[in-house]
Amino acid sequence: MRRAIFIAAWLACVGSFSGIAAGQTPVYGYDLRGQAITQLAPPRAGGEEFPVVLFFLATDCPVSNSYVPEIQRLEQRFAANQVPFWLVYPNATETPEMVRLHQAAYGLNGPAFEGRVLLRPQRMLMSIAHATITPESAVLVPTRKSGLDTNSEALHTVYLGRIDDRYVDISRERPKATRHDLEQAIEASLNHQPVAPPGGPPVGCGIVTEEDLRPVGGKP
Amino acid sequence: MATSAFYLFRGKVEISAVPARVQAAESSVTFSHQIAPILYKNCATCHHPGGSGPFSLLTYKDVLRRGKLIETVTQSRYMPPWLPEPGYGNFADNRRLPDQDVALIKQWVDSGMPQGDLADAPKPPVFSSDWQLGPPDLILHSDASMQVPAGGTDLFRNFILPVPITETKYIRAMEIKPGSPQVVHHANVLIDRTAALRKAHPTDWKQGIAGMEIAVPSGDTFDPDSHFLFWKPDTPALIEPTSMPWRLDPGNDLILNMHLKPTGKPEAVDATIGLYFADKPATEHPMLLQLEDDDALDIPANDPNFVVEDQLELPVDVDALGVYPHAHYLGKKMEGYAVLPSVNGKAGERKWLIRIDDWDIDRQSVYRFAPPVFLPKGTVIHMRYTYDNSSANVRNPNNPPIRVKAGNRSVDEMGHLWLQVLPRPMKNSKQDPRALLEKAWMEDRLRKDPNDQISLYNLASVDMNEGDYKAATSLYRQVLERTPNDALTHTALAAALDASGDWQQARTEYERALTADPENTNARYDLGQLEAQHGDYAAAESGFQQVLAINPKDAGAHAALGAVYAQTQRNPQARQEFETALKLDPNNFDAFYNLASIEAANQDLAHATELLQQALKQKDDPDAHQLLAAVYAEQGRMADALHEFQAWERLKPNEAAPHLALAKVHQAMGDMPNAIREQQAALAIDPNNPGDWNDLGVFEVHAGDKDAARRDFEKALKLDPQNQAAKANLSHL
Repeated sequence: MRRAIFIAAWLACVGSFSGIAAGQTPVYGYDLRGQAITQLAPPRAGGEEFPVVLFFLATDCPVSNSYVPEIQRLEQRFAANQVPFWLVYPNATETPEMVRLHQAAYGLNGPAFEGRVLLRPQRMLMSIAHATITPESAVLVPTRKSGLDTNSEALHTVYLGRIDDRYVDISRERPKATRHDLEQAIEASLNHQPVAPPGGPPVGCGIVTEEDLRPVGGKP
Repeated sequence: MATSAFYLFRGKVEISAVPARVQAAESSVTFSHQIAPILYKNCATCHHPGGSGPFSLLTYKDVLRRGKLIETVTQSRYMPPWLPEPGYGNFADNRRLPDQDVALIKQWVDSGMPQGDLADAPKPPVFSSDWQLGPPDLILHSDASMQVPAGGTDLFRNFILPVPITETKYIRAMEIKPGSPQVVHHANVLIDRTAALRKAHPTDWKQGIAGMEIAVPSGDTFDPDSHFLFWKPDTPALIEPTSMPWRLDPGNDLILNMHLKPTGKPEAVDATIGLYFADKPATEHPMLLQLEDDDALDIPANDPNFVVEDQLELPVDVDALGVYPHAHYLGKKMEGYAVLPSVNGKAGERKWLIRIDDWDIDRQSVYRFAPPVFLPKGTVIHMRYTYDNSSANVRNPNNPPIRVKAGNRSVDEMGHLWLQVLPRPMKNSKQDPRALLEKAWMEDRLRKDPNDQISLYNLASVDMNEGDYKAATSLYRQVLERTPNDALTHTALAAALDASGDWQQARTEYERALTADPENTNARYDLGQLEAQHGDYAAAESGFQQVLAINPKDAGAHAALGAVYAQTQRNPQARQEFETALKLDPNNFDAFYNLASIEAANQDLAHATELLQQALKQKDDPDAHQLLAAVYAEQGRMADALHEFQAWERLKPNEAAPHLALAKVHQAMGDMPNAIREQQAALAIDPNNPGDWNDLGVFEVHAGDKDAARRDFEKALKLDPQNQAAKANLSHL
């Protein structure tokens, strides 16, 4: 059963408290050059709070790939709001080179996502946004400062799940989505309104970790 | 631990293979031992690098990465794609995974996906991007590639590929390379005998024409040969049975109807078709029958269970070879079955042809029976399709649901059950069983819509084929009442009128066809033939030249123009045209025959003989046998002449002329009894020719039967008292 979002947010706080020494900068993942990513929400003048959107993608998942046009549409739709959209490639199989090729093939290498590509998501990120499937999405918003960790930005998840209802299950696809769960979640969070949970489970390919890919019981 | 279980399993194999597998399933299932063979057999044809599947499943690492997904899609039966319910039709290439394999996959995934000893795994299959059957005899390429956009709804596009052949070819196999394999769900190939779709879209056909299942005319003759030319990613080479290659004539187009699915990035569709020629024409001719009731397809919004039914009684025995159910996005349940004729008062058996409980257009296919299903005369084929036009149907293209009718856009609906049948020859009848099938099918369509143009036209074609020209004329006129400018129907009507003897009216209809479509080379050619037959050589010559101006490589028009030159004593030009025709089409009967006539007239009997022998290889033609017999007789080869005249007589059993010719050959060979027998056979058919009675008398004199001779000379004189030969012969007795 899926963890309730508030628990994930709570775990994030615990993680930053217990796993990282105070004063140490948390690492969410790594960019295409292998540099650590420590900030998802760039600071804004006036300290205004705004959401961060994560898309969990895979270079080799057909359902995930079929959502690229929708991801691009959403990025453009909220461009004026300066909402940062991150492309997160969570699978342990992905390499920077594979991701670069994928971005070029699918037109994700333009300015909209420049510097917003994240590989090898670390426990810090996955514990905030506990994605299990590609494609899946998350909306994170700043948490009121707890006072426990002054260096890290404190984010918590207000939405985690499907982008929309186009896929009902792996064998059933609507011609067009009828409910845009993620889009509504972003709108709600921008308006500081309560965010509705997704109307159904995410559909796509399971996210695999290093551990998942370790050969089991056999000879190579 | 896993290794020891693995060896335990091997030990059990030696005792009994089947229990061993069960034992393995209960204890340890490994990739190497159980899973790789299942995936290589059932999945790898698409799931290999460069294949149509979105990822490869050839290595343990590949499969480990997808284990959960494989478990999910095999449990739900989404993969491998196979829609028919088990137990409702026995199909070749059944792709439904056995329950045992599905259970093994689940057990393997749930137990952590152990690898086993890779040394024991089968070698992964090897796939090549080359043509699977070797280099094709002819490669067709769509002129313009199309870009499928990154997103949006599915596209259905028809690409037209003109076929650059100058003689009829028979196709034993076809392979399609769709360009980007992951974007093409499936494709259907249609033969457009009259290039009708290209002509209907003169400026934009190269870009592809939108539409799902389109209909094209089959031409102006009864031509029911038809095959399922259906392609899907796991069957790239479509191989026909040896006895059933499909025919392609010069001037035919192939239409590649493709279902294209956006993948998330723009994809080029750059289709190529490879054709493999057979050495010989087909000896068996299947045809396609369709059940449908598109007029009844008027589905109210929110109706979750709308039913459409149709049925067709078979007038002849057939073997059903395959079935292709087709609906769009509202289709839910599809049932096709046959009710056999009742036996001894007991209701006929119901034989299932197919049942699909969860229709999905994305995974549609043609299903071929293994073995063919025998359906005796009197069998009634039934189609019963159920549609869901509610919002609970996630595939419903309309949100909220709206009323939906039949059409070939994806937002319209269809309900077709195609059945490929091979009619069995009819005992004690020379009738073509396909004509009876076509008639039954078209009459069924007319029962549903008395004004259905296609049915009226096709019924007329059957009547033409059966020699009922008056009925055909009437039906073609009915068609023209609604479509007065249809060049194809005017041309067909003209042919019917000409065949029924009304050639002046036929000429008018050809002219109407040409008014409607001045570029219609069929009408222009047929009109030229009509004019030539009735001595208007100048008009015929002009007509054939116009055909050649449009298509300089039309071998038939070259041969016809040559015949006009020959008729008007312009033998050098005639010879040139015949030779051109034979260069373009080395099998052109008319060119062989007419060139032989010129050579025979020039006394080049050896060449005439050779040409006529070639002509007869193309067609068992009575005129060619007659001319060859005469050429043999001229050379003194009486036995050969006799053989050819006998062939003529076999093809024209109700005519006196072959018997008269045979009588003369027998006479020349000194065989008077047979000469008399043939002469009498001729007179039995046509007793009113005094000359023939006189000749019979002459044969009887030579045979020594003066009484019979006297009697027959007198018969000649009774028919023609002035007959000089009979008078003289009688006086000599």
